[in-house]
Amino acid sequence: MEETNDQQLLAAFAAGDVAAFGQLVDRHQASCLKLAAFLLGGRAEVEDTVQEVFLKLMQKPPALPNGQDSEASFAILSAWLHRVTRNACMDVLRSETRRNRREKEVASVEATPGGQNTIDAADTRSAVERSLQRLPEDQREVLFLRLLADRSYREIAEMTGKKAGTVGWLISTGLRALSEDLEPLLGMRRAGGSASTGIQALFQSI
Amino acid sequence: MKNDNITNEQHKRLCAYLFGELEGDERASFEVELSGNDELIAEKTRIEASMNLVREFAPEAPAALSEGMRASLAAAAAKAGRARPGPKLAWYSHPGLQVAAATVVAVFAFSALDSRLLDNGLGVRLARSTSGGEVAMRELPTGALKAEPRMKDPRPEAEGGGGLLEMERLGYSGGLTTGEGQGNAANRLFRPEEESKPPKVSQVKGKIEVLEGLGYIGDASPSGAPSHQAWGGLSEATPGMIPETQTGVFFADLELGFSGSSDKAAARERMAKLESAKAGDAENEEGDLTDVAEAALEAMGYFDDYDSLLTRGPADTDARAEYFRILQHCGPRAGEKPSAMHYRYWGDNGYEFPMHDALSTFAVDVDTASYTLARRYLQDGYLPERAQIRTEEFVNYATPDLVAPTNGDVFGVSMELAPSPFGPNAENGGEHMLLRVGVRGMEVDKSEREPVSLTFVVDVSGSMKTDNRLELVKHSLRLLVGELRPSDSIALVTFNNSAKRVLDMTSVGNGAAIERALFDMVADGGTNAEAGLTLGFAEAVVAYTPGAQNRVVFLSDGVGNIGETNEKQLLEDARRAREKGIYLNTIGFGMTNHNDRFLEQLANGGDGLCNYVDSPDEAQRALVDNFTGAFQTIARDVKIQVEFDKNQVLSYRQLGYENRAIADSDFRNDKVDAGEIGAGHQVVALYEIALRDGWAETRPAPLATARVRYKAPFGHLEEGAEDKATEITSSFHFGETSGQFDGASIGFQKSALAAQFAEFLRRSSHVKGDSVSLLRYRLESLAKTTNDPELIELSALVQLAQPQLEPALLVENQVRQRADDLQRFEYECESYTYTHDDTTEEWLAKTTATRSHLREELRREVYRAYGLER
Repeated sequence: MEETNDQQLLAAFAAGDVAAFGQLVDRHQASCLKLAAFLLGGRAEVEDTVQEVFLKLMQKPPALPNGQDSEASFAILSAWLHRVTRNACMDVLRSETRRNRREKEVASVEATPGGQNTIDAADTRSAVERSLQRLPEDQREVLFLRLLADRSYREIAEMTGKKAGTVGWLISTGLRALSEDLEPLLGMRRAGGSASTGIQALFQSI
Repeated sequence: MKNDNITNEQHKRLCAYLFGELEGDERASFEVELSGNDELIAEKTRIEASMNLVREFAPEAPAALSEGMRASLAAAAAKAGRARPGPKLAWYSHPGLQVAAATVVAVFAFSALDSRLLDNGLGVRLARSTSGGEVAMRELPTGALKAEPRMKDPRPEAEGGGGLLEMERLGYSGGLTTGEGQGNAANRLFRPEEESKPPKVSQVKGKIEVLEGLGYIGDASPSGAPSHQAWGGLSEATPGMIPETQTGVFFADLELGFSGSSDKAAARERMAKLESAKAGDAENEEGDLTDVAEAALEAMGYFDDYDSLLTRGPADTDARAEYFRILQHCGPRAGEKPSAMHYRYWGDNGYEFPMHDALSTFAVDVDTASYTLARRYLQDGYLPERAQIRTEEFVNYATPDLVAPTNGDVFGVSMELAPSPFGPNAENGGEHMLLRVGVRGMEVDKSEREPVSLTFVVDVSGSMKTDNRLELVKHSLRLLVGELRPSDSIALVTFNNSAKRVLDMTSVGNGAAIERALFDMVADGGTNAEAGLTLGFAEAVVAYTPGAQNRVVFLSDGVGNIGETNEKQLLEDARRAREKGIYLNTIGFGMTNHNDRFLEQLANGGDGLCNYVDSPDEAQRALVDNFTGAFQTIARDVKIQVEFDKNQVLSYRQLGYENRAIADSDFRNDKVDAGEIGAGHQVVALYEIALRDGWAETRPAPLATARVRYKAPFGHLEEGAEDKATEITSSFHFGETSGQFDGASIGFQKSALAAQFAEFLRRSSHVKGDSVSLLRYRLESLAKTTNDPELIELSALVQLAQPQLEPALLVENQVRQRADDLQRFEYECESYTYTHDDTTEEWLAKTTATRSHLREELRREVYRAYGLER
């Protein structure tokens, strides 16, 4: 059976086929969740936000052009969902309570002498998470698209409605800030990590 | 590192270059620019490393929305759908799955029952009693460890069962005869990975813990079933799997219980076909197969129940379905032994019957981590989780003082029999007997022992700062070094985000170098256990000393592992190292979660010990007192097989060792991996035994025979010599025995009481009705008589646990209580018919009456839970 494309699924749902909507959720939820986690820092709001996104899809679905191949309609819907997810995340981030909390978090990290140099008890993941939280939201978004969703600058520009040059700036600035932040971790990772090299040979040697 | 000299424009080009955005001339010219600029090259490296770090450690996202969310979406979608014309289907209802879904609805919905009607009582918070604080303080004279409150694992129902409840609230599984309800089941059953997704569990803990969280205990059942359930757990442990033997039952349920069909003849016919197809029996194709089906159905009592229930009308569809689901789990399955039934119901070893299976075979285990970890929980104010308790490790902790081997034997084997402290009438000697099989390894004089070559792999991640764990590690290592001789040597590897060699293999004579390395260890960063172990093995291989005990010792708090810890690979490495003659010990330090399962598996894989250290005392015990024992292996792959005389022993059950059982036929299969025993180690196996009527006449025959099979340690193997196993046998004849439990030897009582405490903490079915107070009284008086610190500690722990343990032992939920009663009854009936050929008409009539009664009780409770009956 040939796979139904996203446009057809949306049409089927519009005609009352609830299962079709479920298939859309199955197809797209992982990438939406990833984006939300990246933008929100893996917090509890992640799932709520994505749920909202799908409710939006249900209520005001985008009009996908007819007769596209399945890849094209998938890409169009992905981009649409990306925008809606991004906006929903921004709403969450901008909500007053959250901003307050975030500012406190950032302040407490920076108030500590040495800042990121003294990551105690925290593992790398939370260090990365904190560093991401300190980036402006537009930088975070393009970094997600570049690093995790593996999009080209041009694709990112299309999805975000920015110029390709701007995307390049955002990526460069974001990465520079991140790498300064994560420097202490980078050093340690470089020092080791090659432990497994040659272990098989070593086993043979005795 | 400063990179101020790199302009923003340069940096932008650098990034574009790295992401392949530069082409042709642009690219070439940037490469030229790059090659002459060290600062730019350094920045490139740094950016690449950051990118990798972000890719690897990006905030974790769930792969899918939770059941609850999906259900809400489904509800919204359906609502939107209702406003429009067209087919209305829950999206779970993939048409292709309809038939299968209908067939499997029982298992699924049944597990839902677990969460909605039954309380599984996990992770009970203890009231913080003052004595608890005292014990903790006594343990920690230096104040090295602080008790801290901690979050327990969230209750697992939150997602699985909660999601279902949500759906039901939204009207999504209301009609069990519709596609929707069955679709639910399909959705969950055919997506086991979603089913078992924990609410929020760190990457490393993985699936095992999920199962534990759901109340399932242990690794594998003796019968080889994938997993099993805890006491009172009624649900199938492996969602998504339908045991083949059950197909018929499900089918019957489908036809009679769920589809709403009242056409019994058709149901029978279909079931019979199914049975026939399963059996591959050609004769059945046309012959008397309906009899088989009918008999099966009648045996399940479905016709009667169904007839009476059918008249109740549609209002009780849910309750009726629920009732049938429970019912179906309360009976024996095709070809199931009573002991397997027991295991399925209650998650512990059930009784075996020597007339059918006289052999009990297992791999020895000398670990104690389960005990020390439970002690830490209790002292911190928590009741440990059931799944974390391994009875045999409690028994191991209580030094039993067994008879030492003589005449240069490697092992001394001794057995003792006394009335059991378990079960009814336990104050007066009890109904059952308890057999202790003790195996004690020979002592090795410190001066005689071979040199050791130890590679320590020490966790120096940030979490090791907590409670001064790293200082405790250093303290322990200093103690150890103090006990070693110059012919011994140690190497040190540390790990946090990555692994680092801090001390090459160094003779203990060079104390200054060792101290310097120890002193320099600082806790910071993440926990990359994999890198640590890998480097540790590599070091041990490089520094391998022939003629010495070569061993890697892994010390970690197991908290916050980062990255993909490839457990399989690590276990494989451990096994490979062991083949090369390198053992692996694991020591958990002050762990707050029970990652010790992994540590235990690692140690098992590396033929070594797993210890848990939470105080300087325990460090002394694990590393120093135990020194020759812990590090001087005297035997490998040690297996024990106990044979019971069927004329004297009606039934027996082994206490603990649930996940160390070996197939009886594998006892002499020397390829089967088993446990390692060190110098002076003592292994105790306990069996509760029901003696046969008239056993006294057969006294001349041994009541039990114990066989110990083992291989010599690696160090003792001549080059190219065959790795042969040795077997020793010892018999036990029934002789003079005290009529009282309290009359048994101190060591015997100690082992038995430690086991009983463990079984209480496991909420084992075997301590049902037993008294915690009696256990406490026995421990206290024994402690008073002997002044034995282990007994003093045990009784203090029982005292600490008692206030919350007792309520936890009560089954408050009435449905579970009734189901448990019925299960117990069915188990007893099965046990009876298993051992008696002469079931009389009278017996049948009586059991049928009791069964009906118990079923009616159960039905009433289920209906009550649904608000249908008062």
